[in-house]
Amino acid sequence: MTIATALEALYATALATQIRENEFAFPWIESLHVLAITLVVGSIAILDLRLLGWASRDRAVTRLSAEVLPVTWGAFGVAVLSGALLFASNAPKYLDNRYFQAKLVLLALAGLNMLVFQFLLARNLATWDAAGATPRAARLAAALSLVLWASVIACGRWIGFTMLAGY
Amino acid sequence: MAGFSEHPLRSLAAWLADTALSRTLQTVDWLVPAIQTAHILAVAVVISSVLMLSLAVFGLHGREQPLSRSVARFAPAIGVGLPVLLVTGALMIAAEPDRALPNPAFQLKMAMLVGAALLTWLYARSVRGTPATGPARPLVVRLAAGTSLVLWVAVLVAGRWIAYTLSR
Repeated sequence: MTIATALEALYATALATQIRENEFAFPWIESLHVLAITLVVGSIAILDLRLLGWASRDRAVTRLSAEVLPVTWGAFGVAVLSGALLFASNAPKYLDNRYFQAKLVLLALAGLNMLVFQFLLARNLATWDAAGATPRAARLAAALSLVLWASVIACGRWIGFTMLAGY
Repeated sequence: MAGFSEHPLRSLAAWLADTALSRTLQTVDWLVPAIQTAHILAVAVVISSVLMLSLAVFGLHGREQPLSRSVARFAPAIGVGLPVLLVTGALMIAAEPDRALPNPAFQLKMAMLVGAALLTWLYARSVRGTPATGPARPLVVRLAAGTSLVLWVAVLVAGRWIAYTLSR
């Protein structure tokens, strides 16, 4: 089975048809998707700005990340699920869209950045609890995170305009 | 529906659509998606700050510190995000006045926005001076925080529905 036939099969499923044709399914799933992505980006930005030393300087990094990251990951799960449903509604057309392709690449880079931060840079997080003690590599990861997530949002918006769906 | 087109908001929309600003926004392809991107980023700032503040009020975050510190941390972010939302939102209206002004989803969104902003401002102000630490948060403040969080989410959802609520 090639990718093309797999996408056609996905397109023909009852679920995809339902999302595509039901008047309310797409807007509701999209609303949930936007809510989730704003919470992902907003919450990770709180941590990024703290790492850069631009906000929440009086809050220990360990404490702040314990508060923020559950929100980020929870919202990220909802964003992926709702995004998968939106994608399923018209998979061949989305995969053909340049901005959708760019969004996938940017998401992968943002994910990679998070993994590098979590498993390489943040292993001794407690040692840089104080503001101003953030290592240069962690500050770079934070700046990269802000730029990547903002670009993900921009691509998402441009998909709407180039797919001629609701915008 | 002949009379419907004479609705004052439609006349306003028609006038607005003919301004130089609106015509620029209508003709330069990338302007509207760029403005919408800025709008969503500002939504991210406001809704996440509101959520963090609510979690502190509910006692799920920062129980070891006074609530006033959570307010000091997140109220300024809301104060930065909200003006950006208003400016980018106004530009989106200017770009397509007829899509927004007479649209029931837009009108509902504006009404809920006023309620959400007012309620958030009121409860944030009421706890600004609290020196008390610990999980005990006044019930009325928790109710206000919960209601405002729901309202902010409803504002976001109504915003997305503007695209699907036909006003023509």
